[in-house]
Amino acid sequence: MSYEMVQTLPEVDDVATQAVRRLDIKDFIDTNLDALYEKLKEADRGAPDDDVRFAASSEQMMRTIIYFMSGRKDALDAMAWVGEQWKGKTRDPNPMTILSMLALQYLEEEGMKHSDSDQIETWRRFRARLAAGTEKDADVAQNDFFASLASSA
Amino acid sequence: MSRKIGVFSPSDEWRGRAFVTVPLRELAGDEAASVKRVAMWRGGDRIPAQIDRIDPEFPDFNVVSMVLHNIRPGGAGLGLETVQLSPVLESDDSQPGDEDQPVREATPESLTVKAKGLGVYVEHDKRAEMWSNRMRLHIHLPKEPTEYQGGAITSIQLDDGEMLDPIRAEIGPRDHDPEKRLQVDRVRIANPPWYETPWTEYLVYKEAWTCVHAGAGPVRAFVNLRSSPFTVAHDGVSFVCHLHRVISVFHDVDHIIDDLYVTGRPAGKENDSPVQLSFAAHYFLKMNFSVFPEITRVPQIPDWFSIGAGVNPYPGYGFASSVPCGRIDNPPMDYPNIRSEHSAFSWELGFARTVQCLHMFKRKTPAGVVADETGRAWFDLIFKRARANIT
Repeated sequence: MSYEMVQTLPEVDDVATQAVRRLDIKDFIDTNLDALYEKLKEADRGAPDDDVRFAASSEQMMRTIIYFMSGRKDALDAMAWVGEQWKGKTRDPNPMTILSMLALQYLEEEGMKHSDSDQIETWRRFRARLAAGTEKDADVAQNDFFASLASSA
Repeated sequence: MSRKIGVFSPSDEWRGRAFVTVPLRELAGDEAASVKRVAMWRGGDRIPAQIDRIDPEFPDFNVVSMVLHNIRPGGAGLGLETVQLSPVLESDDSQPGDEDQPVREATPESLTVKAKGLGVYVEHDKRAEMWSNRMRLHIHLPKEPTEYQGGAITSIQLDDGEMLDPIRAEIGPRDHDPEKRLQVDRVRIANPPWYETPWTEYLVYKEAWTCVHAGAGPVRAFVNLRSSPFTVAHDGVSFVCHLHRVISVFHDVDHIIDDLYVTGRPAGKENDSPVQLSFAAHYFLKMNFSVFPEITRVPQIPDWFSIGAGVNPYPGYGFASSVPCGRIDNPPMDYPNIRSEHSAFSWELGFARTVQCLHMFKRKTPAGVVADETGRAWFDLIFKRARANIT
């Protein structure tokens, strides 16, 4: 999927917030912003020249948080929500990947809101690297999906 | 002391390591009460051995424990004798400079026993800490403040990482799941055949537990914990009973051993010797394996199971026992917290007079590998474990 496309959607922040609320991980992300920032920095250092690898590591980190910090019912409901939005649009998505990317989007927005200028630059770099890393793996159909999410938010 | 100990290995495979025990009374005879030290020799090599006085009320439970390495196959049947050991028992424990001997520090408030990287610290009626070079356990003894943690292991660290709540532990020390624990929460005692119900169930997690005894040496560190009393009454006869958990940690391994038994005395006869009762234990585990834990069982072998995760950091738990294990509930039917029900598990064991259980913990290990390792541990350490006999 294209992360850059996701960012440019007008109401994607609302969708991202909606996703983390549905997953019930908003409080966890809000209270652990610093620790998650360090995790992303770790991924950044681990793949200095490979945006795809950085994007994969970041997505994996967020997927872990969703799997371990969400509730079973919340996770199933959120996956169903993603599935409903997708239904009939094009081929089946992986709901957990989409939820992970939305949660990453939320994390970055919150990170930028609560950081000093140095950190904001780093968050911007993370965002750019995610965009570059995911663009190479872009899927037009999933962009359509995000457009549909934004319009329904 | 001219007695020898033969080690029998009922397996077609070499064993890298084996933990074996022999009853102290069989080995030392009438001198069992006065023996303080043991030196164990395998040919010309001294091997780690220690005297474990498990329960002061049951001298028959006292054992000599030892760890052996590189045991050749003895055959899959009963097993042939593959190792012969020569024990030397001594009643004098005042030999300075012997680093196998435990250091015991007792104060009115606490007891510390440690030896060669293994140890136990007991703060009376409050908590117990156990450690080895790989594992560290925190055991909560009183019923306060939650009234559900009596006798529970509330923290299990493997290689300095918390296992019961792995993600929060990775993020930091704050906000761990306050419910995380491994405990025996209830016990069933069989009723006589003419009763309408086959058993009576007693909850042991709502009351305080106490430490009966603790020990450490070059082989293991152990603590014997006892539940609050519960009364078993049949046809006008009643027994005041306790459930005991003897928890042991060892060098270099990622598992702990949990020996269970129930003792009872006729009510009002506190000076009588206690007797052992047949019982069925029920375990409760609160550990986060993600919202979709992967439970593995082999239907033909109900003595072990494993729980793993399909996502990083792949935490794993393996349970193996000397008695069959019943249904695994996830969540237990009376578990009240819907938000975290995915991380609550409970299971019941079959009836026995003594039960040996193994709890294995893994990190960064896929669920299938956790299952393989648990099955192997059950075979090697419980079902076809190496045994030692006086020869």
